[in-house]
Amino acid sequence: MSSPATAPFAVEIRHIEALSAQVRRLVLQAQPPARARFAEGQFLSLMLADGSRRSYSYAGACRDDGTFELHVRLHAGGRFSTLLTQGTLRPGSRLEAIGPFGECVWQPATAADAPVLMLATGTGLAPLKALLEAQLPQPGAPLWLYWGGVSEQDLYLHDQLRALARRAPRFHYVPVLSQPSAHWPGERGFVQEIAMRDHRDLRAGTVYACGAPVMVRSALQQLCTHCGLDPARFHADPFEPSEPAPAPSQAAPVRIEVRRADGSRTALALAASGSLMTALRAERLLIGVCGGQQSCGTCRIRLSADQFQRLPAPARSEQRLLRALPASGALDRLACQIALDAALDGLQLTIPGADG
Amino acid sequence: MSAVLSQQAELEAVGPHFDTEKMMFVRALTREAIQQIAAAVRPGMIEEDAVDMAKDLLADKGMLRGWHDVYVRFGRNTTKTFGAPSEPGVVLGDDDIFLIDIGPTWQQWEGDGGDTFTTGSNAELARCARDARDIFHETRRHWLATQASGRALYAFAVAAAEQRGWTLNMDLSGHRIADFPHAAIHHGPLAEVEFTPARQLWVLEIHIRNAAGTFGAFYEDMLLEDAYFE
Repeated sequence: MSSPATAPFAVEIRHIEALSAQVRRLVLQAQPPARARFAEGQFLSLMLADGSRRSYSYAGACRDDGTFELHVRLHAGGRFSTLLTQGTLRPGSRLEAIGPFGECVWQPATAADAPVLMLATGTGLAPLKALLEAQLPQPGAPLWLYWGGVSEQDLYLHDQLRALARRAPRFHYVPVLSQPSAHWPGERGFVQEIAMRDHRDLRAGTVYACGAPVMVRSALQQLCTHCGLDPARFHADPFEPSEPAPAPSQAAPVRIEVRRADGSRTALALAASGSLMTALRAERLLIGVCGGQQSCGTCRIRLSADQFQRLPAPARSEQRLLRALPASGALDRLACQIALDAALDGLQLTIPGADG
Repeated sequence: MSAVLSQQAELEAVGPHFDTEKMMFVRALTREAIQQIAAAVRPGMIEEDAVDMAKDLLADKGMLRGWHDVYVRFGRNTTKTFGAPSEPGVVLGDDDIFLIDIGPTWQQWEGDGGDTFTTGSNAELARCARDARDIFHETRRHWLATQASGRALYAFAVAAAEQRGWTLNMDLSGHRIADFPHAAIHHGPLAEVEFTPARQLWVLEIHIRNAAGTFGAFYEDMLLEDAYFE
């Protein structure tokens, strides 16, 4: 990888478009156009009038005309966000930029059919979209994109990616939400968890991960530990936002003590987010087949009487399924129906075996 | 071993409790449950009440636990894809259409099935329900005759639906079935496999919609030979 040019260059905003309530697409023109050369997966920094910088990944393949695309997440009160939302920065506005930077660029596959996984959360999609645009026109290994968010509105290019997956046979798109609406038909949980479930053998695989640092760290640890991924083939661009928004992962962890059917115990510190089922599934303590629809019963947990009293009473639908499960007892609950919040701190539970 | 055969061996693996006779037994229970649910559905019913009735019925049969939720959809909700929310409060009319999609387990074995029914004499609704079944069997017979791959089967089904004036919903495009839970082995669609799917290990799903998007029909059953449908 060549060193990034350190001299600033001029960019002009050509177009601003809302991709969602929280994400803006900016199309910029570099002057001279040659300064917009970059490797897909890299980022640049925009220099603001007050001397601060904001870094964004290139969100499309490199073009010859000097134009490029960025995805900007808006943060309440953030400097760059305010400049955009108040119209201070608009089409025709000029800025200085510096870059490109970053090493999370395309690497040759280990074998023709070795899987390539891309994991993204939020606008961490942008550099992976650039890689996809550059790679998909060429023949090659199957590409899997796991794109995660909290709820449906975070998937700001969902329809476009679904359409791309229909057009490109080697591209597979898997959206994953941690707190979707009750009617979300897709995967629930976290991208690294779903990717790990889908790709149990990654000894020949390559992984690109961009987005929340907690996801990137967890993906590296879990995919290397459980799927045999070579850490040298894990390419990451953890995104540390300069204008952080509150994130569930930054809240105080919820401590849960889990006893397994074999009597062993595990102390967990979990982010207060989603359901207890999604968190236990991420820890591979249960499988949660139906995704929280009170259908499969694979997230059944057992509590002591005092711990049971700490939880809101189960609804009729949960009680009906619990009655239908073999070996279910009066102090059992479905973890999918229990919100993982601070009120659960210190909860002790047992995950019974199929017969227990 | 070729890559395709290697993939087939992996995707068609079964769990420790797999039992071909038990799988067929649960299939029979599932088809029976669909007919019992359909027989209990009446014009004037609200869809949510029908879902509740279906769950009670499955609970009585020891089949409430399922690998997916229970769907009974009325009227315009028959266009909804798997997992999509129904428009609330839809009442079944006297001349209407409804579908049932259940994925129950019985003990350690999975069933999965779906069918569509009509309440009156509307010929177009009846044709839609009938065509979903016919496309299912036409596609299944294509599998028997040509040993087509999962991908080729759904290309065939798309064409069969278009010939009849319907659009096939590719979001419901078949999947594995096994001892519970098949999702631990493979949860991807049949329409994406490049090999000939083996008998008794996959279900074929056919969900068609009219061009206006106002109604649809669904049929689903295990990939099996003709004798199992007589």
